[in-house]
This record gives sequence, C-alpha cells and structure tokens, in this order.
Amino acid sequence: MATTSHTASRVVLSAGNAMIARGAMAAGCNFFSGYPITPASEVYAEMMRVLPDRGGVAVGAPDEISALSYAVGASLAGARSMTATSGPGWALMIETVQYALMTETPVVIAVSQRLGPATGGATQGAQGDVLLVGHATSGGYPIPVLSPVDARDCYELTIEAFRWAERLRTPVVLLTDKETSKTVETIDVDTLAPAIVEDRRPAAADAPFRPYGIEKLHDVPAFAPVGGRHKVTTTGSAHDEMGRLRKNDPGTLRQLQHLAAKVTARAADLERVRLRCEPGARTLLVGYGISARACRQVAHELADSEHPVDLLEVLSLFPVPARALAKAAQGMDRVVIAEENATGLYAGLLKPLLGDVDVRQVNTLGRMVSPTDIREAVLA
Amino acid sequence: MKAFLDTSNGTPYCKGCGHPHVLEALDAALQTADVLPHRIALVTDIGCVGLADAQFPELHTVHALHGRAAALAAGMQLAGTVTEDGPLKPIVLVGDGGATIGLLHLVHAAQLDVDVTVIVHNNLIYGMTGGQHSGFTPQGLRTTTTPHGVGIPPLDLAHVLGGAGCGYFARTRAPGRDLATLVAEGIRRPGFACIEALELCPTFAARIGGVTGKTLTAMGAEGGLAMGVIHDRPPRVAPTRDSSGVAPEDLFGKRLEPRPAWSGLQETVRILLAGRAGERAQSAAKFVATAAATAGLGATLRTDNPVTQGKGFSLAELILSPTQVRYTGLEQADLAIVTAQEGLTQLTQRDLLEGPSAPRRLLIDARLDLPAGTRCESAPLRERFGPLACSLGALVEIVHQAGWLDDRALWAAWKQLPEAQQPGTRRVLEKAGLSAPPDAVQRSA
Ligand SMILES: Cc1ncc(C[n+]2csc(CCOP(=O)(O)OP(=O)(O)O)c2C)c(N)n1
Ligand code: SF4
Repeated sequence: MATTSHTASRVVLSAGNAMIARGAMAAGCNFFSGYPITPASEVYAEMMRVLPDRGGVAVGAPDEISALSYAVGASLAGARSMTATSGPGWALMIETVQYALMTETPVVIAVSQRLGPATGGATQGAQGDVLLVGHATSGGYPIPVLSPVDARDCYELTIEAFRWAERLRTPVVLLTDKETSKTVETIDVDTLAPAIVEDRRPAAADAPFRPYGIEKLHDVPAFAPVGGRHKVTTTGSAHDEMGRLRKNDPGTLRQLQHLAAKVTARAADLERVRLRCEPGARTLLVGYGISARACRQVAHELADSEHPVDLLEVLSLFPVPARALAKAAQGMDRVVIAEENATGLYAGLLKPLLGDVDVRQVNTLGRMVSPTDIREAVLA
Repeated sequence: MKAFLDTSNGTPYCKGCGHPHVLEALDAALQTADVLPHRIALVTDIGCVGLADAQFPELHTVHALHGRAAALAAGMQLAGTVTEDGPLKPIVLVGDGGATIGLLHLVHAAQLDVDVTVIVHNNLIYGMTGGQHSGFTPQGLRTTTTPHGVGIPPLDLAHVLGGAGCGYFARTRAPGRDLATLVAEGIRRPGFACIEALELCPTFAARIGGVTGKTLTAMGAEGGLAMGVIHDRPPRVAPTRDSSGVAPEDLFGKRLEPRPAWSGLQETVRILLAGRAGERAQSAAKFVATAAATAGLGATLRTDNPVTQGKGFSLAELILSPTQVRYTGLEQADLAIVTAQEGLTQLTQRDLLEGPSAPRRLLIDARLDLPAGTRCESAPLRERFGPLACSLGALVEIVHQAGWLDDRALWAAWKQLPEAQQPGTRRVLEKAGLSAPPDAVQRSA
C-alpha cells in the first residue's frame, strides 16, 4: 500500500500557549509563578496543572510583581524559572526585570500582546508592546527577545529562551501575541527540534568565589546558588564584581558595561530568522509574530507570479538581527515591513539599517495584518 | 557561640538609630538557631535597613528592590523542593516603608505560610529618603511630608497579617529585652513569622516629629497596638493534590496518526461559525479541526468572544487545508454558518456579510431574519439539532457531504471526546448523515 511521507508523522492540535508550557517543561523549567491575564492565562493554567506532577513548583501570585519576584528568587536559589503575562502585567514587572538583569539572574518571561494602552482590548490582538519589551531597561541594557510565528515556534523558541537565559544569566522575553498564543493549530510533533537543555556555568567548588567575577568584559560570571557552599552576595544596586555596593568606582562601571557587552558581543549568535527566497525576487517581506503569517500567504501566492518576493521572518527581535536583515535586503528594490500596531514600531528600528531601499510599512490597528494589505504594498 | 554580625569596619547608621539594635538581636538569635549558616539567606529591602548586608559577611545576602524582599525570599524558599541544596531559611529585613509598598508580599507570604522570617524595622518614617510618612506613621505625627501631622490611622500589621492566616506575629521595641527571643522563635518555626520592632530614627522621626522612647511606648498603650506575641498558630499542612494524569515523559499527551485517505479536500477552505456564547460553536469547530488533524490536513482554529465568555456572541474561524495553514485569519469565508442572533449581529457590525468579505456561501438558521439583500440559504438548524448541537450538526453535514472529511475521520474525532459526551454527539453525527461508528458496525456484524 502506498504511503505518503506524512502518514508516519503524528500530530497534535494545540494552541501556542500550551506549546509554550510544553516548551518550558521540555527545557527543564521547574518553577513557574503566574498571575492571570488574557491572552497569556493558559500558560499559567497549564503549568499549574502539569508542572507539580513533573516534580516542579507552580505557584499563583497575587500580582505580577510578586509573580516575577518569586521566579527571580527561585532562580537565585538555582531553579529554572518562568512566568507569563501580557502588556499590563509586563508594565508592572519592569522594575523586577531590571533587577534580574542587574543581578544576572536567568528567568524567562512570556509576554503575549493584546491591544493597549492600559487595559486596552483584552481579547483583541496587537503587536504594540514590542518597544516596551525591547527597551525596558534604564540605560538601554539589552534583554534578548524571541518572537514565535506559529505554535511550533512557541515550543521551540521557549526552549531557546531558556538556553539563552541560562547561558547568558539574563532575563529573556518570549514575545508573542493574542493570535499566536490562542489560535489552535495542527503541529507535527515528530518534527519538532529536540530540546537542548542548557545550564548556567557553575562556580568551581574549590576556587574562591567572586559573585560577578569576569575576566573579559563580555564573560558571563559563574553561578553559585544562594544556599550553597559559596557565600553569595547579590544586589540590584550598582556593585563591583564582589557584589559590594559602590558608587562610580571603575570596577562598578565596568560591571555595568559588562551587562551590555555580554549580550551585544553575542549578537551574531543570537540572531534567529527564517529566510525564504524566490528566484528573481526584488521585494523583501519582513514580518514577525502573527503578521509574518500574512506575509507567508503572500509569499506563497506570488511565488510563481511576475512579482515573486522573499520573506524574512524575524524570530529574534532583540538584539535586532542586523546581519540577517542586511543579507536578506541585499539587492532588493523594496522592503515591506508588516506589524499589528498603528505606527510601525519595529519598522522604526529596522529602517535606519536598510539604507536607500524603498521601505513600505504595513500597519493595522485592532485587526490582523491581512494578505490583501501586504499584496497592496508589494504591488503598489 | 560565633557571632555573625561584624561591626569591625563601623556601622553606617546615624547615632541613636534603632537599626543596629535589631541587628544585634538577630545576631543573638542566629547564634541559638539550629540552622547551618550557609542555609540562611539574609534578604534585605531598600532603605537604611538595607545597609545590613555588609555587616553579615559570612551569610548569603540578597539586596532586593524596595518592598520586594519578602517576595524574593518566598520565591527562594518555595524553590527548595527543586534545587540541589534543598529549602533555605530566608530572613527578611525590611523597613516600615518597604512593608508599606510591599504589603501584599507580606500578606501572601503569610497566606502561603512559607518558611520565611520577616523583621519589620518600624521607625515610623522613611529614613533613607528623608523622613516622609509611611503607612505605619501614627496619626498626628509631623513628618517631612505631613507638616500638620498625619491625618489617617496607621496600619496595624498584626491585624492585616492575622487576617491572612499568619502563623506567628510578635511586636516589641528595639532595643528591647525580648527582641532576640522573639526573632529566634520566628526562625525556629517552620512556617511564616513576622516580628515588628518599633524603633527610633533620631535624624528624622525624632528631629521633625519629636518622637521619643515614650512615643513608642504610647503607641502600644494608648495607640492600641498590641505588644508581645500576637499570633501563634501551628504551621499549616499543605493540601494533597490530585495528579493531572499527564505522564512526565510525554508532554504532548495523545497524538493523532494522520490518515490522508480520510479526506478528499483539494483546496483550503475557510469556515466561519457565528453563534451565541454557551451554544458550543467553538467546540463544534474544535471537533472538526480534530477530525481534520486525523485526516492529515492542516487546520487552524481562531476564536473570538466578548470579555465575559458566557454571554453574547461566539465566533469560530476554522481553516482546513491540504497543507499547513499559512495565514490564520479569514479575509473571506468560503462558508459561514450562523446559528443565533448574537452571531448575526456581530457579523453585520463587522461588515462581514456584504462587500469583499461576504462569505461565498452563507447558511443561517431559519428563525433568524435575513439581512435585507443578503444572499443566503436558510435552514431550520436549531429545530433539527437543538440549540447546543446546531453548529456541530450543520458543520459536520457540510464537511461530510463535500467529502472534505469522511466518516472515518469524523468518528475518529468522536472517539477523542470524553466518554460522557459520546452518546449525545453520536446522535448528532448520525442525524448529520454519518453512518454508525465503525465499532458499532463491527459489533452488530
Ligand atoms: C520603587 C521605589 N520607590 C521609591 C524608592 C525610594 N526609596 C528608597 S529608600 C525608601 C524608603 C525606605 O524607608 P524604610 O523602608 O522605612 O526604611 P528606612 O530607610 O527607614 O530604614 C524609598 C521610598 C525606591 N528605591 N524604589
Ligand atoms: S536616617 Fe534614620 S533610619 Fe536612617 S540611619 Fe539615620 S537614624 Fe537610622
């Protein structure tokens, strides 16, 4: 009997949020704290339901500041921790995000965007938090931000987010949106990338411990948990490599520069994009999150037309994948950037990197970017 | 016993400040505590109170954000079951300012009865920022920000935390003879404990508000603040939980094995269901999506409803495709099924019934008024299938007749349903034109 290639595979029908929870567990997440908010609530519910059976801890917090503080506290003690929220909750978390950054504490925060500002439209989609997430730190210190396009990305990029958080000892944001979080879709589970679990580098047991000790500026300090044999000194205040409060001494300023350097020095490694090329394409579509799916549709439709297009799906929003963008835009006459916010928040960051090319923005407010919107920008 | 407090490099506090007295009491308590020093985490809040870290050079110290020390400590402690070193003994040092901004963290830690000992250094004002009033400042006291005296009553933390099920709460003065004993008891206990120390800030509370030792005494006597041990309840036992039934080794649960032969779908179809909340339009779409998945199709299901999920409209956008679905939105439906007025109103308001978005085929329940000039078919869907099954019945009938999904795919989806739903759904499926489920056929054969 004839079998087609995909008869062997197995599928599940799942929403992005459930795939985020599964990705977290596959990545070895063993601590989750949450607070309900549409459209991220299912991550919280799923972790509360399943994580304890897997030997982990899941706890409901009384607000988002507590939720992230629990996760950061747990990580300081050595747990692999996570929380999930939407724009309003992210706004409450920002101070604690900076604490995680300053104390070099790994933690993953899933942020599923809805229509803002303020309470906005709880059940409406949007991609309006991209700058609020990407630029959340005083001083502009970088926080890696990953952004899934579909439910399978939700799984794979959550795993990736944990890897970066652990490797770089930093908060990492998984930025999704109502559509990507809540839309249910078929996923071929047998073709998901195998989970690679990474651990923060442990401090040597026998050597003297410097809590924030680095040799080169971009080094990531070795970790010792609060509660272990090494005496740990942790602080969100400006500190030297021993964690001592210091004002503007060279060692303290160096630690601050290090917070930026450890991410920017790895910017090339951190770039994650999907580039689909068509012979003869003169237009590049750029999309992220849900808007990339409208781009997918148009790229597919135009593949055999007079106007074939290339498509760049940006999966790592921050650091901005400048190299991949430059490469994809090379030789193009036009770049079309699609996103579900009124002014083109992310396009504003990409444009200065694109030189003289004709940049067209496709922006929508209160509804998904549609293939028609993109087709118009391509063919106009 | 070995001291943990090291003041050999001096202390950072003003002369007469109450904080160092609390630290001395803590040191005395730690010396009697039955805890390995490296299992202790000193978690300090922001403020003058937070300058304690450097004076305990051998303990782990975590200097938190303003107000968040108790939350960080609770997170650390809760992680004890998953970390290599096991549960920690966090001790939180926080001012009355930190207890004001972070009040909810204290409340929740008390509710959780997490093994954290909190020492509130209540010097009646915000010290580090210059003597402003806090939530704990006594009524009438003059401070930097209340030149005519505070107009509202102070928080009584014992009351607040007592209402949160706090296991142990004690209040005393610093310096005070019983402080070390009370702190030691807090640390000894396996659950949440809070010790509030009333103390002086000579630089601000004394200088601006005229606070003296007598003021602190009066807070207890005339001020109505109880002193000594106020709550002393046995630690709570965590409730046992039922297993979720999800095997740790399989994150994905039941997987479907796709059988492409079960679908005759050649091109992507976009289906819109519009009904009333609670009438299972979204479940109907989920059912067909499951059938599509078993038939090896790509499927996406996007739903929409008002914020109150049990009332108003309910929309489901279902896309079925021979390949993976690229765009999950629905610019124009190939088929729209409207089963209730709420759904119809929504589609009208969204301009989805006319113009370029008008569905290629529109099927509406016979009881609904046809929008003037709209091309549509009407059928007695509610009458035939009942309000809770009309979406499912109508949808299955169409996908089945069109050959997009055959009996086998639809029965496979049926088998995925919880057992309690199977008999009712079976009647709907048979009414929609499916022959008996394969098992039933075998059994009767
Ligand atoms: C979010 C935030 N708001 C305000 C401040 C400013 N601040 C620093 S210390 C402090 C008050 C500290 O008072 P208290 O907690 O009573 O401690 P004390 O200084 O009296 O020991 C405040 C408000 C801050 N650091 N962070
Ligand atoms: S300002 Fe007040 S609280 Fe701060 S050190 Fe001086 S006396 Fe103590």
